[in-house]
Amino acid sequence: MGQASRPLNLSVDTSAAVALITESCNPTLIIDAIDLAGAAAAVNLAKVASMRVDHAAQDHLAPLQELGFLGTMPGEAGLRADMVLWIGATSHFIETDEAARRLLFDQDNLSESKKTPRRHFCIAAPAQSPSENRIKQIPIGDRPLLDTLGLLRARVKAHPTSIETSTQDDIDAVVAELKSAKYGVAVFAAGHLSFLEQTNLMGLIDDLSSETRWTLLPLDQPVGQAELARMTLALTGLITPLAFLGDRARHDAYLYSAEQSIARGETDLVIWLSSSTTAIPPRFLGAPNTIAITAHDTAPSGADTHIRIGIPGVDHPAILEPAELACAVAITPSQTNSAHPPTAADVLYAIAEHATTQPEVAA
Amino acid sequence: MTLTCITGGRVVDPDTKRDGIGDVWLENGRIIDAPLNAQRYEHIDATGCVVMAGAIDIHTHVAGANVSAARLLLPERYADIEKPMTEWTGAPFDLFSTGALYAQMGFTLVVEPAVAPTDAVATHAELECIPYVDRATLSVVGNDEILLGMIRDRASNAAIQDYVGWLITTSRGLGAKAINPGGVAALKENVRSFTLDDTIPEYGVSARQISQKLRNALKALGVPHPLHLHTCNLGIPGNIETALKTIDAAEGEPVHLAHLQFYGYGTEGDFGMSSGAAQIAEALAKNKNVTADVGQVMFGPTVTVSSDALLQFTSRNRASPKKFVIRDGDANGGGAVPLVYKSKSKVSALQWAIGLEMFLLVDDPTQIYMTTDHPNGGPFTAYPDLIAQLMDRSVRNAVIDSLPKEAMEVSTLPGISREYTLMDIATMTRSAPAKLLGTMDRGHLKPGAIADIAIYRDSKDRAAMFAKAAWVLKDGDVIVRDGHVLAARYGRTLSLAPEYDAGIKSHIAEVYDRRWGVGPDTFSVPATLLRQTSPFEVVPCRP
Repeated sequence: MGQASRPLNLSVDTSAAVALITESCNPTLIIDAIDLAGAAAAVNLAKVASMRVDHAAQDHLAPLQELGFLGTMPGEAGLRADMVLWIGATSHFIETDEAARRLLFDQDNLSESKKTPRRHFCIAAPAQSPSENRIKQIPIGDRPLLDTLGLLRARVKAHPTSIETSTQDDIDAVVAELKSAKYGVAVFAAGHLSFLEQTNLMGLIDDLSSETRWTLLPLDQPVGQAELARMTLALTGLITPLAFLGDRARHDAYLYSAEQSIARGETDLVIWLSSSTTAIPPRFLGAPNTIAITAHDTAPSGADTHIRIGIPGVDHPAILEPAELACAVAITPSQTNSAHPPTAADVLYAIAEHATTQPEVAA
Repeated sequence: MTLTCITGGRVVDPDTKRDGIGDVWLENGRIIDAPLNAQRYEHIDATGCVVMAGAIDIHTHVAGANVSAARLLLPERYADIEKPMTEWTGAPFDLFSTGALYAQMGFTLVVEPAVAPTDAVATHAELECIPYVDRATLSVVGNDEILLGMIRDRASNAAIQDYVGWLITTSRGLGAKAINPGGVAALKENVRSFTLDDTIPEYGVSARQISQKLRNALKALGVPHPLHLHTCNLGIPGNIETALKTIDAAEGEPVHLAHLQFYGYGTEGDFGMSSGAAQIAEALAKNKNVTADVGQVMFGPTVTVSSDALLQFTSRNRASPKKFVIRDGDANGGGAVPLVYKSKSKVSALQWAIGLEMFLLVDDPTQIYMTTDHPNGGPFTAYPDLIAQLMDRSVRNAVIDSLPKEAMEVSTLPGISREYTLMDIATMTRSAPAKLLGTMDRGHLKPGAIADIAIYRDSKDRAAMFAKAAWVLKDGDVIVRDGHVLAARYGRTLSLAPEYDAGIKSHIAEVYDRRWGVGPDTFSVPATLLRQTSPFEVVPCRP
């Protein structure tokens, strides 16, 4: 039994894209919003056409790869958190992210055993502090976040510090508060924290967990990253950025970084894939040729060639990983219309049927 | 499909008690009786070979969130394609290689045993990418607030049965698995150890109660595979007591104990750990209702992937390298913790010995199954070496001689002379697991069976023999020849559709709305996922 694939019903012309890919020596596929089937198709195209593959916000995963993660799921946080610690610049999410607000501020979803109201604290520079009045600011003065995290870690373990006694008393009071949590959740936006801040935050949570339960909850999962990661890890064993050399994939966070490849002039073709109408970020422009496969009606700025695709879950059924659920769900649009643009997967498989590239000369 | 005859091979088939030279006929993907006056047919000359049904791995972690976490955590392990894959777990983590390597060894069905309902869509999408072999999953239940709340609130057995039926159906499982039932929920309340009769503070419910309720529900639903149970206290010296109590707690009802090697630990000996394998074997002999897979440890670096979040949380400080992913899930959660089984380590050596003792001391090969709990005890690619150690005492003695003497002094393995026969291997890896899963047209070579067949060139070097099959047929098609896979083909994912009262959805809807603000069908696995038009095949429940 072969793989009984769904038939392609493609209403768009992919020949220009195929020609550019075929002529390219070193194409780079950069992925933004994508559904699971589109991500699988992207890996397939990258393999048959010896491409580099990266996600538009790949840096978010670096701390996790380096140090690991002690985390929780949004639903679990909403159910159990008796203390929420907002780290760094999170006010944007507090003000605009309805799901985050519902999960973390709405007391109605608390587990039956959680009788006490949730306590909220914030560690952030005053300018970044959320305006939400239920959140108590932890006094850090002018101290950088990294220093504060380091101080907290030291005092969690009762290590001596060189700071003045009164400040240490303040820090110790905070530590005592944090240790009083039954299920603490540290909420952060990875895109707003440095690598060192994130790794220190992970260390703080691990240190606190020696006595009580603390976990991390990232708020700003980049669109499409979970879907792409799921499929590249499954199909290649590797995370992006990666490159296909022959039929084997290699991972190198620096060598195959899309942004670095473009900046170094190594990439002669960028394929920007986003089943949304996000503009192509300037850092991904600059290669001699750019193909945009997007949900725009017309070619987005910077694209030499454009193929329009549908929006997953809106124009066609799709498997997506919504950030508020942090797991994949199948989404079927309320109305289906055969006139809708093709799916990313259909377009990518169609291109892959015809596309090959010149072999990469030097990495 | 073409009429085919496999001739001249030594046919080893426990179900028909065949062990001798003979023919196997197949047509249209099924084994058939020898036709009368067959004129035109394909011919596979299996002279000098051993012919068995396709092998089945009932417990191998090949997909899902924890496996993804492991892949994400350790990219450096794959960064250099020049490095032989055997330098790490021996098995790569990409799905194509997973299917190909299983097929080369003669496997035709693999079971991913730990799929949380909230992770089922993604896991099944991943499984669809595994070529050559058929797949199945077990749905995780036992730490979720719906079940625990129902037991706490003394819901009727019928209501619990409906919930379990709904859960298996929507997540397209072939059965249900409980992973440290109650223990993971207790961890969320900062409980750091949890055994059979401890209760979860929030619910006042014990692991014993959870397992009993689940066993009853599965029986009432007619689910062929009994409760697949990863019980409490995995990996902790002294947990032999937990294992024996868990066997007693089954009260004569069918239960399958997962990776039992990890529960065979006593506390005697100079380093506080000893083998409890003999006690386990004795208990299994007295309790024919209990089956187990071993979870054999093989030496080398690996990464543990488990939905036992309590175990992973308490093990995190032993990670090597020093990093881990652990998350509290919406039921079990879980994580990935890398570690190394060192042959110079007394603990690792004893773990290896305890696993082999279990294989060799349990007399009935229908009760004990070959797994490494891939990748937790080692990679599935170690199976040929493991078979060699089981079939040839000299092979395992060579390993014993290289291990710390202190470890062997608290094990009975050096004194065990038993060697597995080919019939034992076929029973343990084919016939018995097929029946245990309720896949009655697999695991044997009787007419009507699916033509999943493995043909090995007979050799005294059992590791070489079972590493690369001469031929493997899947649904009657040759997928492996001379140890190499042919063009990729994709199989089916086996699942159940037990009957249940859909009225249970109103209760589930309340919980889902409170927790996520979504409806009860949100996490249901659709009939189509990526590209395959119909990846699922329903296995019938028992009447």
